[in-house]
Amino acid sequence: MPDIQTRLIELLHKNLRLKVPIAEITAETPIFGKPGLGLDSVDALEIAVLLDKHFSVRLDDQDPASRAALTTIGSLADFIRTKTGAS
Amino acid sequence: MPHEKVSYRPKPRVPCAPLPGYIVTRGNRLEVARITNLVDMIPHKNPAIWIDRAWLVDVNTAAGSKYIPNRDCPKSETIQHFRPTTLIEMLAQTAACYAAAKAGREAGALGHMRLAQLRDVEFFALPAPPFTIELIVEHVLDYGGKSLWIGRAQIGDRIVCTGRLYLSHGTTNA
Repeated sequence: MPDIQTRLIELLHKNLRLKVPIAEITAETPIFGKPGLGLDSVDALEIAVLLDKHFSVRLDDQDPASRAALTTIGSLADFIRTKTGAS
Repeated sequence: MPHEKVSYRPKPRVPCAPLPGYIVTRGNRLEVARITNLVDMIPHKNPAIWIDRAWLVDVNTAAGSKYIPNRDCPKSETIQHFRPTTLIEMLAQTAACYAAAKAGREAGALGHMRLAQLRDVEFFALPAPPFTIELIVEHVLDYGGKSLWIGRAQIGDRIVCTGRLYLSHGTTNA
């Protein structure tokens, strides 16, 4: 079974129709802006939906940890690991 | 493009709590009583109100309807005063009624919602009027001052529009 980060990248790439080649997305890739995935606030809402659906993890925009998680792919994967207890 | 037909039949579910002043109970539906209530619930004023009525189906879903009379299409050949993109505004206004009713606040207190973005929108051929359009919006999630709604408009069992609507809170486009 692929690890959290790999699953996350695949999910984002497929569902957000990212133009960035999947092989170029790493833990250090910023989620918003350029250089990075170039996502916007509507995409953040979609990410929240995807995390809820696929990992049963809720993003709360009032929670600083949730907001900080949406910095890079790696920080978001770490957030999911923390919330789910996965390694 | 062929589309799977989805028949809209409200299932008996636990209804939302009654909201005084906005909602009346009709069967298992909580229905907005009159269009004057819609005026209170969304920032738009006539003639920019594109739905005749709206009601809550369950805690996540609202429905609305709009009757398009024959006079909006005198020759019954082309839709002259009714454009398919108007369906999006109808869906957005239905969602706004849901948000207002669910919040249960007085007119204007909710804060207006603005259509921020659309995705995966598809339009299908409209029949010649007269017809009644049924609008169904399902609230998915709120995050970062925006909310995601899955909407569809249908005439009978015929779907005429589907899409994902992203509404942002706090501003008005009226």
